[in-house]
Amino acid sequence: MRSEAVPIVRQSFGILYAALAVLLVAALFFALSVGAVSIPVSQIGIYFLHAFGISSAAHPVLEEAVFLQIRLPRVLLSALVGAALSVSGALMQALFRNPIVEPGLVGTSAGAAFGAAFVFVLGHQLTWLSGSIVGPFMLPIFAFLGGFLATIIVYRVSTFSGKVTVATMLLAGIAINGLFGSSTGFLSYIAHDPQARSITFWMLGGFGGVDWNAVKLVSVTTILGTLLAVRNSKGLNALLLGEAEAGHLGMNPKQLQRNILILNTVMVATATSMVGVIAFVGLIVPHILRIIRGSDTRYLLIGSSLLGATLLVLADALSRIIIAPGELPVGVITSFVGAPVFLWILIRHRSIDPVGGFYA
Amino acid sequence: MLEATDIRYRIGDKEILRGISAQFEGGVLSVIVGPNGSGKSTLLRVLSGEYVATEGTVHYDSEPLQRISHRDRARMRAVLSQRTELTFPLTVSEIVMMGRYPHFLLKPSNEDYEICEAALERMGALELAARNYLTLSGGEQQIVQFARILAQIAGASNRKRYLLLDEPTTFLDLRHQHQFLHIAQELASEGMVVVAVIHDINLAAQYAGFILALESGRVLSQGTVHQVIRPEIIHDLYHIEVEVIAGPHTGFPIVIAQ
Repeated sequence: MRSEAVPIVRQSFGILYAALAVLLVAALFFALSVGAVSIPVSQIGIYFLHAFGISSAAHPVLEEAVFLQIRLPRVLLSALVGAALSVSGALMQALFRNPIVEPGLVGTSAGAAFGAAFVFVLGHQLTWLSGSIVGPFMLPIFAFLGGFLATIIVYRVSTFSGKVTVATMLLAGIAINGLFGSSTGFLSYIAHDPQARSITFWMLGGFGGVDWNAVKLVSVTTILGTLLAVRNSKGLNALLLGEAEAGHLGMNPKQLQRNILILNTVMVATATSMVGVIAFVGLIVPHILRIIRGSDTRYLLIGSSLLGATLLVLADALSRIIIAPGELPVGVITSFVGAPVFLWILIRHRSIDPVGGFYA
Repeated sequence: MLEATDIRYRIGDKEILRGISAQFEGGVLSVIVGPNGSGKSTLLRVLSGEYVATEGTVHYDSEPLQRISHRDRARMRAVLSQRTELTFPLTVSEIVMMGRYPHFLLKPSNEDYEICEAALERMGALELAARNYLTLSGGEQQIVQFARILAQIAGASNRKRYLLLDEPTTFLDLRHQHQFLHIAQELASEGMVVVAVIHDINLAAQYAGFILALESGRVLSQGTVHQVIRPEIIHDLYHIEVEVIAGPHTGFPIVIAQ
């Protein structure tokens, strides 16, 4: 009777992913070439060839050291952190079944910030820990503990019999952000310089002074985290229907939720412990992707890793250009750009969403 | 066949199901009726495996439910709730494709797409495929969910397919209520085991081939429509005086409160 009907479109995201990847590569080269010392792209190629032992063309040694030890890890880290925060935003939005959730809103960032501030100010007193094998990882571990505690409290408070109440989630987020925020404030109050300064720097977020160790650590958690998240994307989609429905589709919703919460917090806490709090990336990136091609979680996760990396690389480049040779904390840039964009999204949805409100 | 044997279900010291035995066969639509709090939905959840019975067993085609893996369960039995609300603007085809999740690992095959198309076609809703689920009416949303659960159990042989419908018509208008139960009846007549919890006794009377009437967690009566829909049984179920008349053209019993 409906032989004329168009069949379901076979979704293919390959071209979109390729375009996003090209964009990322372009952003990386742009960010590598700009800054206090500007390096032409052709020169970057020579450094790479030389670093891999392929070419031995003559080049300035000092500049090469600056490039390999400062510029390159910084740009790579900004890409990894952008990917981690955006993937985490997409994950949290699926878990809370709400598109306005991001690590900053549900307390993950504030909790991680408190954990890190705790290590800055009181870490040296925990000699039994700092001298042991976990010493070098104290910052990410405490950031994880703080972030996990904050997130799980907000999640538990706002979820009742499998459903998330948006108003409760927002209020619980405010309460937890307030609690952890003032705890961090208390720590910075009792801290001496330079501890207090490092907390302040950290609350604004920035990629100044990062090294290859940070890149290694964040690349492990981000890449593994993203792969595991993508593996769970069917389950996350099914969870959008509700816990019972996901169960009927053969998933284990409780286990899935717990895994996602841990996965998300590991990614955010490691990234945050290295570069500080960077707001709005996790919110804006999945949102842009939704406008392009809908809300399928698998697409959002893969897309977020690429687009999130691109945007934060560009934001960091901008932070080095605006007041060169000085630099702005990148968190200031993401908030300056992100907050108005967020407001614009809210206004836009108020007028065009037929369901009313923000996805109702 | 779907068989429940002496099912008891307790939460704390409150016993919600108190020893229910029933057999649901393919061929006719099975309907569970009963007043609020009689345990209808709880029984359906025990049948689906969402709740585990405190005592008693559920058998799917003589295989104990507890011995069937969650994935295998998902491939042969699907559950439709009263209403499925979404907060994300997913498309109808994405929702229906979720029914195929137990069947593919990462990406749907062409067969999965064809099954989804067939399911939407059967529900007369193929033209909704590209629509945003959030912009659909309540009736259309429920039709899409029905297509999703049809897609979920497509592929298994009819005798080994089980549809459990938990008050599927509660939020539907008259036309959609009848469209729904008509399709449910059709699926049952093809051999599928279809069990629906339905509040509206007259609606149940028109489509059911087998009725199970529950009261306070026990089976009060079971059998064909004419065996169960009788004034004295309806009185024992709902504690109101009723008369039962035959529809002038259809012959189905109609319950009217006195």
